[in-house]
Amino acid sequence: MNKPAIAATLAVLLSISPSPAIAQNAPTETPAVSGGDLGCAVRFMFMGMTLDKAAQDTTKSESARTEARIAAADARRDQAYFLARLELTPTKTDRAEEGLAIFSGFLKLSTDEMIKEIDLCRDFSRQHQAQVLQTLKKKEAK
Amino acid sequence: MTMLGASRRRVMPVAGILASAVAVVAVAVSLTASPAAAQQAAAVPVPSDLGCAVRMMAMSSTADKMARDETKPAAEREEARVQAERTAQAVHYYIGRLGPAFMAGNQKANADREYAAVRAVSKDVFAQEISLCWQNAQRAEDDFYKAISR
Repeated sequence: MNKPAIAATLAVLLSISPSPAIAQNAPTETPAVSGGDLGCAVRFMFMGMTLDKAAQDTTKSESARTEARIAAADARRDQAYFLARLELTPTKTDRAEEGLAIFSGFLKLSTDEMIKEIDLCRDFSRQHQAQVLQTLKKKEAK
Repeated sequence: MTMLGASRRRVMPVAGILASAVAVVAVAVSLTASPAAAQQAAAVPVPSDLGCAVRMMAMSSTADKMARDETKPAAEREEARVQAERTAQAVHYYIGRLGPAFMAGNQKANADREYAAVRAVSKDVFAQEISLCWQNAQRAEDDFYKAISR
C-alpha cells in the first residue's frame, strides 16, 4: 500500500467528528499501543489488506489461503470495532500526522514486534467485546 | 493483484448489500418482503446502536447456520458464509459504538428491551431494520475504501 493511499485513508479516518452527545460517550480507556484506538485501526487496516492479498494468492495452498481469509475477516472485525470507537472520540487536530507516524513506525518493526502490537490491540478489543456479547447472548438464549 | 485492488473488490454495492441482507432474513423467516412493506421502509426508524448489535447478531447467527448446513447447495453455503462474515463485522462495529455509557448503565434491562422489540416487530419491519443497521455499519468502511481508491 503506497503512502498517498495511506494518507487519503487516514484523512477519512481522522475527519470523523462525533456529535456532542456522542462525544460524551467517548471511550475512557485506550489500548496500550502508540496512537491508541487510531493506532489499532491503522494496524488492523494493514493486517486486513495484507491477509486479503495472501488469501487471493493462487501460488499458495488452498489451506493457507483459507487460513488467510479467516484471519483477514478477523482483522476486519477488529478494525470495525476501532473505527466505531474513533467515531465516539472527539477529533484531534494533529491526527493525520499522528496516523501517518503510527503507520511509518509500525512498518519499521520486526515481525515479532508487529505481532505483539497486534495482539495488544486484539486483546483490548476482545475483552470489551466479550463483556458485551456475554450480556447479549445471555438474553438471546432466553 | 495489489492490496488496493483486493480491497476495492471487497466493497459490495449498497444495493447488493441490501438485497443480500433482506434475502438472508427472508430465508430465515420463510418470508418474502412484500411490495407494501417496501413502501413502508421510510417509516422504519434506525434502531439504536444496541438495537443494531442485537439485530446483526441474529443475522450473523442465521447466516452462520446456513453456511454450515450441508443439505444446502455449495453456492448458497458460500453466499451465507460471506454474509456471516460481513454481519459479524457489523456486530463488532456496533459493539465498538457501545461506549462507557453502555457498560456503566443497566445493560441487562436495555438488552431485554431490544430483544422484546425484535420479537414484537413484523418480519418485514425486521428486515428493513436490518438493512438500515447494515447501511450504517458499512458507511465508515465504505468511506475508508473510497479514500483508498482515489
